[in-house]
Amino acid sequence: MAENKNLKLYEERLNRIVKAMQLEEPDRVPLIPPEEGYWVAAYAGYSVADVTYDYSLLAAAWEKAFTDFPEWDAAYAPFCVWSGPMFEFAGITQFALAGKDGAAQKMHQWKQVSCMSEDEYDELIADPYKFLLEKILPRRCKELGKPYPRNAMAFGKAFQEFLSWLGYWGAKGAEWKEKFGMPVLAGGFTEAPIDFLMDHLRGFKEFSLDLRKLPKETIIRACEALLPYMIKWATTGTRPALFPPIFIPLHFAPFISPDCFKEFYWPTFKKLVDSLVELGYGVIIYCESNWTPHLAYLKELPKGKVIAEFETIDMKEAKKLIGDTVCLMGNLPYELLVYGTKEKIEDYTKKLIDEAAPGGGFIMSADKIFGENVNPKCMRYWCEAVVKYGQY
Amino acid sequence: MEELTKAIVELENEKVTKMVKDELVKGTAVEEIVEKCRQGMEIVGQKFSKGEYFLPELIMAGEIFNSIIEIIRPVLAEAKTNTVGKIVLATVQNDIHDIGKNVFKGFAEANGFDVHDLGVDVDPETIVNTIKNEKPDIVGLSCLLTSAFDSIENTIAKIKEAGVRDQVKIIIGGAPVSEELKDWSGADAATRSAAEGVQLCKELLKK
Repeated sequence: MAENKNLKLYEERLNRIVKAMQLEEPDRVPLIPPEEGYWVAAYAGYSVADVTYDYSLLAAAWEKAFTDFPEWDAAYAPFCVWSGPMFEFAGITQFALAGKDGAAQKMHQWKQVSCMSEDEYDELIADPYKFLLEKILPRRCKELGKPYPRNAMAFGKAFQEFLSWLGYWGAKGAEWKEKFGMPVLAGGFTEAPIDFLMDHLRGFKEFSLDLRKLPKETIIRACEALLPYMIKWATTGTRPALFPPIFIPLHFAPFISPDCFKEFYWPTFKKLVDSLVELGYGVIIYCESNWTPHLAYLKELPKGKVIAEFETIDMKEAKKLIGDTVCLMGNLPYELLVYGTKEKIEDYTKKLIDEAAPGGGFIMSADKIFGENVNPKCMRYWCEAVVKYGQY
Repeated sequence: MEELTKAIVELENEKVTKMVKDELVKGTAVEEIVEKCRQGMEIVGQKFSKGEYFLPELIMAGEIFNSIIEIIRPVLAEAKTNTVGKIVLATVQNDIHDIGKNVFKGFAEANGFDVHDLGVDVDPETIVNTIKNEKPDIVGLSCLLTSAFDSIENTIAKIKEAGVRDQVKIIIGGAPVSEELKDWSGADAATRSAAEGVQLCKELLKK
């Protein structure tokens, strides 16, 4: 009987989200806090290092949160704390791992490392797969850069760990459906081609200078060469469905001019989203920082298939401009959930609902991925405010 | 507008380098060269604030300014350059991000500040000791991660405990900072923009 109750709850939550994605009115505004594991771990009393090396602790932490905050409609991206052993086997140099690399006690941190030089663009464009596998991976992961057979052994161990990590969370997702009626939002992952180029290959500063120094054609052709791999990244091991959608965090757009965006960012990013939708996937894009200058472009995305999650944006404007195309999400200021009073949290929640919820197509969320300092009391006020003001 | 200033505003790296070298050969006073560059950087900052320039342009301008400093460094040491104030700058403990901090640093230096940069992941004790030794006018605390809020609060608390809070103004900067964090932590100013941060520092000096 208990299982039936949970499956019913799962259907209820799923409907709420899917209706919002399809730009219709569900029974109430869905609530999905942007939580990747860092906060639930702290909330359950674990360090990030603990849960990076023992998935069962992270799963237990999520389950505590599901029990204490049943108002949540989905777990946003439960496994984004990643696997410490996998990173260690590969010898990854891109992250400062929490609990391992001094600085990063509370979160894994992205190091700005450039592992492709300015004169390697042609090589990348000619054969991206070969270039990424033979040049970038060994530079990025020091164990994979060692002479044979050590590189092969490291790859074998890291890949084995990756598979068991993937299997663990796949099974957890099924278990959470039955035991907690809780869906998992992020169904897969990829990046916009230009973000991949900036994040993983050239680095922020170097790529910023490339945009001014290199021929435009070079940048555009590099993005086009990467596009098929970005599609493959999303589709590998995932099942095409509107829910759970493919998660695409967007990085470089808010830092560049509208001209630059139009020329370099938008074309291959739009092709990525269109291709995924054509294949039958839903998509969630996380528009980090301020997307105001580029907002109107999102109107060109497929209708009723995309969640656009925002950080800093005027939601009223966004609703007017693109509310008939994408499902809006996000925007509640993180600091309210750290320092806010009950009244301030209620006021902002109500304001957001008034601005973005009418007619459907809105998911309540905050503007930034949660760190460990979200105040559980504030979380409680927020949940109650959504239930109070979010009924359709 | 002076040619050199204009070349900086237009981010003409090679042109700027050549012009600075030519000016030095001509015997132009280094203070005068720095002033022209400073004006160029100020206009770049204004263009950023107005939304005409974006972060890649700021980074480019910072690179250009650094290359100018490299060229004139040998003569700079002998010249009397006026500093408007001294800033101790750091990305706070448990945060290793420094793109924003470095852009701010470039612009602060271009605006005549003497910047003492402690780098990233800097613990409160180091910051307190540096305040005691360097006696800055301003302390700039940077972060990118929301999880570094605690480090900002903690650093300012330690500055208070050490009894040196009254000797400095404190500005916090970075993508996630807000007025709430400023009030909660007890800083004097907060900004999400490197260019605005330099303006705020100038205002803080007047207070």
